[in-house]
Amino acid sequence: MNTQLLRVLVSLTSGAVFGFGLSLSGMLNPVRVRGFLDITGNWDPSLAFVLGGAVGVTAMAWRLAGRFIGQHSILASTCRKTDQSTVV
Amino acid sequence: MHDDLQGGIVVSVYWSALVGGMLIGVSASMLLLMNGRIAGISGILARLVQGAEISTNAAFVVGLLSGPLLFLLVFGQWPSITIISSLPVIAVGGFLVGFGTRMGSGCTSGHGVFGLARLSQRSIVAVATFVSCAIIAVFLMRTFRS
Repeated sequence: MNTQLLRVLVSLTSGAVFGFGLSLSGMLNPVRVRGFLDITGNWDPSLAFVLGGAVGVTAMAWRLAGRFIGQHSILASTCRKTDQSTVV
Repeated sequence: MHDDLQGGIVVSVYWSALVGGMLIGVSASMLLLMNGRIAGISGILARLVQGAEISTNAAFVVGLLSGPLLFLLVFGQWPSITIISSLPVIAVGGFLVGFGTRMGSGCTSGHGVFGLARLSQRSIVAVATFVSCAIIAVFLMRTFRS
């Protein structure tokens, strides 16, 4: 398989995992998101768990990326993380 | 928390939130380590609309939209979604979110997940700003609606 096809498959899988995770987290539901922001009402802390889980895992990947990969990712010669001007 | 969620159900809701969040982290990690890209939804969608890296960005969006369908296949029901706002309010809100995320260079995924994970000062400021403004907005909407 060529690199470009692999990159498309990685993007597709990454999107699907993101969408499934978002569905599982309950944050597809605007009422749940609003519940987190409604601190004077019936506060729902769920969003903090979602963000905590996501940031924790991503932070480990970020450190891995710095240690093992340096400026290059596996399937791309350029890595956006090194480009400070990049729009996230 | 919802009134109908009590005891053990509340705990399972928090577990779902944590595991769901960790899956979002796995997704962002995959994209970073394999493709060298940041899983910022607003950025990916914007680049797709602008016609940049169409194949990978479109693949990500297709995958993202298939997420709820995968949830249906696994759990036998759609993720619950409760819409309480009217269509015009949603349309205006959506426009403001889109405009603001472009102006602020990122949304909850780019700044919130990725930015916080790498302790980016810009992202920490962005998250603190949009969360506090959203809390104020929810408070004002509650106050003036009731």
